[in-house]
Amino acid sequence: MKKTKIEFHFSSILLFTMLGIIILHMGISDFMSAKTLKNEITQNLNNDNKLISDAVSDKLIELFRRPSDELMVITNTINETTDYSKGFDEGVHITKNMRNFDRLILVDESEKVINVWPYNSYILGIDQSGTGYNKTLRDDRKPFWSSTYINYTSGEISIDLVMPLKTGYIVGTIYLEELSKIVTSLKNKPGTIVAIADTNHTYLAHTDSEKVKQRVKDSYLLDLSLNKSLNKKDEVQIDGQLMIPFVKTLDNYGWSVVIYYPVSLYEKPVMTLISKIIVVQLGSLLLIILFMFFISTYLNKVLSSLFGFIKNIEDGNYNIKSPQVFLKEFKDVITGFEHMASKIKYRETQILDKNIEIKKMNEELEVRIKERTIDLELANQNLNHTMQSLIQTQEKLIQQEKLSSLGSLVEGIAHEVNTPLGISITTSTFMEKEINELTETLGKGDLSINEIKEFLETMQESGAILSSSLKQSSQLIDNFKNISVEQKSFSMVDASVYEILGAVFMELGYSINDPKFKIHISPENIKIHCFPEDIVLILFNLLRNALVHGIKEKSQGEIIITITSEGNGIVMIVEDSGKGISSENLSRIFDPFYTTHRGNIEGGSRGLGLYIVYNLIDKRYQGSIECDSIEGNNTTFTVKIPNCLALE
Amino acid sequence: MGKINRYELFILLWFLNFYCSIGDEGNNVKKRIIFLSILILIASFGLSGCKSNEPIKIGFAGGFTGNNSAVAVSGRDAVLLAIEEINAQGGLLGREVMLISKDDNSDPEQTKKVDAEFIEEGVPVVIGHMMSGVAPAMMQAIAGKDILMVAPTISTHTLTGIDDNFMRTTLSNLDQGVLLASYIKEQDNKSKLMVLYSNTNKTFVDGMKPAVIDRFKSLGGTIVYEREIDEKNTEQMKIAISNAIKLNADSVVLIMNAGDVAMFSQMLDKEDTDISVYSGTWGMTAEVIKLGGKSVEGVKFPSKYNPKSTKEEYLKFSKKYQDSYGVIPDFGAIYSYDTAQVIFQAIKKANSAEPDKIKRAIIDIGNFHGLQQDFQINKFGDCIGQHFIFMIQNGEFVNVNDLKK
Repeated sequence: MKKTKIEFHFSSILLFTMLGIIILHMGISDFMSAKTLKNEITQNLNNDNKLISDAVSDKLIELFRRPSDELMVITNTINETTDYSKGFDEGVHITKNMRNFDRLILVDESEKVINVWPYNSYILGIDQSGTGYNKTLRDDRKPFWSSTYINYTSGEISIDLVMPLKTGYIVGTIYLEELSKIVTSLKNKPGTIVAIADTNHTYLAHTDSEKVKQRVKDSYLLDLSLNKSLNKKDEVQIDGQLMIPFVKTLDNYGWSVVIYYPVSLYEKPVMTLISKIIVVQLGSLLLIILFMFFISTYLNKVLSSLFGFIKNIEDGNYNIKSPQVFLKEFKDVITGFEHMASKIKYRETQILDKNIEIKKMNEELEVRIKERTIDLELANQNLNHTMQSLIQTQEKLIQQEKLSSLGSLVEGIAHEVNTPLGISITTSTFMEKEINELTETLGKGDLSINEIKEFLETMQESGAILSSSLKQSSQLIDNFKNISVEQKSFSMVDASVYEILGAVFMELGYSINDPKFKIHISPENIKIHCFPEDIVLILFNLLRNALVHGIKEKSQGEIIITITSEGNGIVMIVEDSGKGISSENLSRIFDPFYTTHRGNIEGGSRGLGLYIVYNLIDKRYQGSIECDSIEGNNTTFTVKIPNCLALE
Repeated sequence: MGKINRYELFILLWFLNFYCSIGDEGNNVKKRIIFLSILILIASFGLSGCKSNEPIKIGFAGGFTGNNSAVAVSGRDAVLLAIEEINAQGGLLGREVMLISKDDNSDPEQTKKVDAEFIEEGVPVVIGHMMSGVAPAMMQAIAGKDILMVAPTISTHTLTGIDDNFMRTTLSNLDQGVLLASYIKEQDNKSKLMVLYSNTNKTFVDGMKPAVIDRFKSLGGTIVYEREIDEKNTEQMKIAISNAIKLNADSVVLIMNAGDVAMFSQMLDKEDTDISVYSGTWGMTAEVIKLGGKSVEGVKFPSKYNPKSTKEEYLKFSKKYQDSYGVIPDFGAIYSYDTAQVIFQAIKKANSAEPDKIKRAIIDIGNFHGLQQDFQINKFGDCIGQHFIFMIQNGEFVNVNDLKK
């Protein structure tokens, strides 16, 4: 996918930011004005609704006051007579000009209808106990208005005013058409519903008279009465339309005046206002956009001429004519650039001069460097030569050290063999002399038995000495042969550590049982797979160092040799309780040619022993050698040779 | 769209639209497309939001005006309570339930008109109508239409056993007739029966009248007199009463509305006679007691509805109904409330407010728990339950079985 790099233009950012802010402000102000307007309208609406509901309640009070007066007259007339039926007729006659009722009935104590106006033979004599009016009067002998009901005879929605007599009661029935007139006569805005509902929320009057006929209950009032906790709602759905409700309770009757105002009605002025505001805003916005375009075009022009000017400076044309602008800020910028250009020009000249100087210096420097390089190369060559001769010398010395070791070995062996051989020669010379003497005596013929016995005893003793000495020599030579045979071998063999140690001691010229040495070998018959001469060389050097450098000057020093197996390898520890090594020397003991005894001990030390040991262990056996020492106390060499145990 | 008013939405859209139209050197086509997409998204979200929050419309059809209106008015008011309750619980399927009630004026022509309106307004299910008399017109209006009618009180036997988009939660009036006739003959030992029936609600009359007559006759009784009485016609009632006396009738069955039953009783009460009065369930409303007073004492009715029921649900409902409307609920109210519950249950089960699915769910559920008694609805949408005989005593309906006890 091709990746597009986003570029921002100053003019676009400026334009969009400005427009964004303006539009945002417009939006906010529209919202706020809409809200304010809505609140204002709702406030007005509530005031209007209060006026309407007051008018309705006034009319209701008026409407219900007159029938009460009328029925009171009739009741008084009846109460003054003994014949209630007659009194009823009289009362009805008296009030004929103030008739508010559609029907009047007189009910006796047994709740039978005894008189009715207008006359109706059916109603006369019927039982009224089902209405429950008598029961209500029994509780409270006061006139009361009944709930609304459909009058059976007329089919009209009716309401009764019941007034008690001394015995029985009188019922005046009003058809509620009048009530509807109250609400329909109000000049309401179209769509507004004004209704009166009774205590059971049934409509007594409604701008839609059908609702009254159908005895519809007001669902909002019902909702409020059922869910007492419910807050009054701002808007309710009435017949699928969103309405703002307003309720006023008429305390006299427990009825309610309900007014529903369609939300769409108040939405209309809000929408109109908002539309007007938007039109004005759009106009302003258009002007702003035009202005912004002009500004951005101008800015673009100025910026591009500035860019051209800068480009000229970049190309080195310092004498170009400056662009003409009328805005002070840009004028300042251009003046700034002009200053900059002249300064750049000045510095450029300076830089060019310096450049020439630097070039010259560079050339000189190059010549010098070349000369020095030749000198250095020569010195290097000399160093190489010296180095090579040093390496050769080192190798030569190592070879000499090895030969010297061999020399010591031969010397040791010669010393060992020399003694028994000397004894043998002496003994054999002695025997030869004894035999000669016996032969001489025999020749003389005066050889006694005792002399023969004496001779034989002497021979026996001498033979035994001779035999013993020769055996010892033979044994020594065998040992030597063994080592020398293996020395000649080029393959590794399984060698007994004990035997190796024996060879080392022989070489050192000490007895293995010398009290100076304490030897611990575990397990005792440990065998290792190696070139035996290497191990001999290692131990020889370590022990010789211990003897020569360690305990020589100490009368009671001893050397502890510990050889143990560790894993598949062995650990050899040579510890002497000698004079120790100083810490500054300790770090250098494995360095070639490092010695503290150069020239002051027999023949001196070349300082190669430990170097050879180190190399042998490290290179040939991948082992390790460490030295710990406390000056004036002890020195311990720990040699670890891995993977060298002979397989059983 | 939550609480955003229409004008607020308008401003928002204008705002966005304006932003979309701002151009920048012609290379902002993509930007415009994004803005337009957002606009369309918001608009469609708004519309779909409105759609899903649209209330579930439940219709109620009955004659709210005229002399047969008591049952319809109480039925509608009970359904209004049921809807208030369900809405207080959060509505159905997350939507508010809205009642749309229409007045059929107990008139066949008006019935056809309101049913057509329900269909046109997309009301999926209607509780109603309330009078057997308008049933033929209703059946004609809804035949093959996408609407379900569940009638709480249409009991005419003529609609039994038909699989259509009409269902009911009341028992057939054939059962009413048979039970009533048997009771008159066998329990009250009456033998000379007069049958008077209304000129209105013909379908109901056609279902019940033959059931009463045939049963009474089959049990050895005699029908001394039968005639049609026009609504509220006191003259015809007077004639009937004098004929009854002449013919020595000992009982009368009134197949008419509560007002007429009360009026007939009031007139009969004026005469010195022992004729016992019986009525169909149709006449068994509060109005019969209110208008009839002492004259209706002893009148008997067959009904599945028991005003003295002591079932907890009924008592709770009855209290609420009385608190709201000031009168005790009649059978119209009970059956209508039960019907509303059947529909709510079905809509929940079907998880849909489509007529077919509601019908299917009602049949699938089958057994329902009514305010007063449990009942079944079979695959034809007919109700199966039990009738009892009630008598007015001291201004109240009392189950005669309870009296015997």
